[in-house]
Amino acid sequence: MKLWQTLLIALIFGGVLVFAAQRSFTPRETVSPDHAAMHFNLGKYQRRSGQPQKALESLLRALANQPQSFGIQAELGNTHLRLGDKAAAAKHFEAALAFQPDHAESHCGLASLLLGENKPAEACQHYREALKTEPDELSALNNLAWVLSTTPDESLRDGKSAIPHAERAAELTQRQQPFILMTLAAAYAAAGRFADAIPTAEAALHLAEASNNASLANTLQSQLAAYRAGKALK
Amino acid sequence: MEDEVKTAPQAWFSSTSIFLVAFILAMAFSLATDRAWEDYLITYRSSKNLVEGHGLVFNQGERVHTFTSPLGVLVPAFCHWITFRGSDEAALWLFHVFGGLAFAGAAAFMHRTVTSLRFPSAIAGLLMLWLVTDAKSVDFSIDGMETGFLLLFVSYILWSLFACSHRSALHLGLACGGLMWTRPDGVIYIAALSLGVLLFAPGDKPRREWLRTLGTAAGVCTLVYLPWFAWAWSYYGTPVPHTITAKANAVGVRTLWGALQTWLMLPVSMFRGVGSLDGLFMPSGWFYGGWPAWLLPVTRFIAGLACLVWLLPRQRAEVRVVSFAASILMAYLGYFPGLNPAPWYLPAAAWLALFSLGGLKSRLVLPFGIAWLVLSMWQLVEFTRLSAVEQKLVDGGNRRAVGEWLKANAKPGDTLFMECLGYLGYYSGLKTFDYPGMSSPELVQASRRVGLEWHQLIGELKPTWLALRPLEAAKLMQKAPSLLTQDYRERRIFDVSGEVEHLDVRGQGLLAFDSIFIVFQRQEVAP
Repeated sequence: MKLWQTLLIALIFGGVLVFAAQRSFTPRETVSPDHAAMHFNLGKYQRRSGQPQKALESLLRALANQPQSFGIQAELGNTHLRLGDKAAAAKHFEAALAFQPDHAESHCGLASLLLGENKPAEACQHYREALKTEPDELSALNNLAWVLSTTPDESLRDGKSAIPHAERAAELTQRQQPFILMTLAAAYAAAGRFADAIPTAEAALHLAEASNNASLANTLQSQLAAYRAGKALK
Repeated sequence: MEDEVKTAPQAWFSSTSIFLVAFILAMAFSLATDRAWEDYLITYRSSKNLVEGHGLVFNQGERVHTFTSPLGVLVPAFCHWITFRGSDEAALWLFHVFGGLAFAGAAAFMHRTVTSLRFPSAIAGLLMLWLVTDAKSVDFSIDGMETGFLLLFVSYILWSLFACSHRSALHLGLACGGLMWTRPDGVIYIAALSLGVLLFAPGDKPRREWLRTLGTAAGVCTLVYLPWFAWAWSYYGTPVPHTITAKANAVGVRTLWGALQTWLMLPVSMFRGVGSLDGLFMPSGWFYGGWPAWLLPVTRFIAGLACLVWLLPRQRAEVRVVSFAASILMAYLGYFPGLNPAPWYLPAAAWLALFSLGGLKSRLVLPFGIAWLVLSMWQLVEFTRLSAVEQKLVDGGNRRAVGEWLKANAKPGDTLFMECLGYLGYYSGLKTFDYPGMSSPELVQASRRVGLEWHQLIGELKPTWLALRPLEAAKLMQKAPSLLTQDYRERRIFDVSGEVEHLDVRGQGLLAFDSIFIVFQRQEVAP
């Protein structure tokens, strides 16, 4: 091949590169799932940092790019929950479970909605489903233990079953979370183990006071009084 | 497998024409994309400080070795100086030209080598076209990285070993010295090729003579590299670049046994897909997504094959040397920097692998070679399109905007924490705590005290500003919820996702990755 021929080919291919680059700014219909992940993470950050309305906008953009993502659906459920729109939250949690039936976060979300509707038995079922997939899911452990220890429904109330869940939650948080210790104390009391319930509630009270959480401290003081009187919570 | 042509072939291209073809392609890519890679701006900040009389440092007054490549920092310094210190764009364009010349020189050396080894003319022609259309090689030769020089000196080494008939030890020593000035880990490339030479003893030379040649070359190489080594040691207090210290701290302990295991597992990796074989012939940033699913297994298999050519009997000794060296490099690059090595590490290994495939004595090489050329040209065109968008909207758009906004809003003495140091560090001009600490010994020391978790590092270093991608912010919210709501407050979101997400280009995942940044300011200093 002669020099001018090779140069001509190089110039033509070089021209193709420049031409192709110019064409790169043309739009298309579909959007890559990678962009959905970006909006999804932005939405997650915004919800958790107390900006649920902005989170909703980001998550809806993510959902438009990837409508079958159970993660986005569940995050939308949590965001609607934060905004107080329970019906929309339930719709998104159910949609997430339709795509991924063992999605722990969605089971927890639905459970919290059912508790709000005073349906503790159904809520417990969803918490148990969540724990099948994620045995260390803290909110499921704590909330299930709390419901089992404090529900007035005698057929559901089961302090002994609540204790392992509450103890695991306490272990996961190194016994440093007053809410978790409050649940553990309630579980001990429901099982009749007041000798364990009292020091656990005292430890929770100490942590609440150390973190200047006055309302929780007041609640714990009244619970402590009940335990000292040999009464479990209902 | 016995198609070797015994007579001198009529070459498709002359070395001059392949030099011009490579240079034209590199310049066309520069013109189409106006590329300035993130890491170029890390080194360029030091280059500029040198020319302005502040020393070869990233932060004025801090003697930290924040770059890996001596040539990669000195050539941009020269470009800045020769363009009258007036324009960053002019300096970058001059560096594009130097990189393009180095890339073209590398292609010419390879051409001289394959011609001397009497590769069949069609195969030699195809091989040259594979090399000059390799997307990563073209990209990183002109985008401000040292890759063009890396290719130049590796090709010069091959020419010195296999094609040079006069003063080959001197040329080999100069080539190795140049490689060391390009990257200090060039010593691995040199060791891999030397080991291969001693193993297969190519040409008519007995091993004892090869040993003498290599010994002389080692002496010349030492003389060439010694001035930099001694100066860096005296200036920074250590000859080891801080970039290497910081990365080693982040990736954890690496052992020779681990590298050997990686090497032994290469035949499995070519099917299973873990390690550097994945990226060898894929466009950079492939792991972010957006390329056809079939491309990865095909290119990975071919990469693996190239690393096994040295095991095949009745092949040219020179080709076995190169394939053996490629396999060593793939193990090194796949193990020491991590499973997915940075894309600018790979072009030299890719060229060695392509040389090995082109040198195979098999009738299959020609049809495979034509198909591979089509694939390579397609990748280059698609990657050019992606790079043009990335440069204009993401790197030159979003990342630069974050840096400039920080410069306008930060106060003297403010500090910035982020992962992507280049654009943000350069355009903000701030003292940076980048992860994993390439510009910041403070961050490396902090990570030794509190670990590598970002919330712990931020808590320890208390930077004034954070620039985070959404994934990073979401993770921080999960690990330390109060950090971004109490200790810091959100100041601004930089979002070009709306501009890039509907563009019709392959490799979209790369565009998504840096399309959104959230900037936070520490609460006690917020107005």
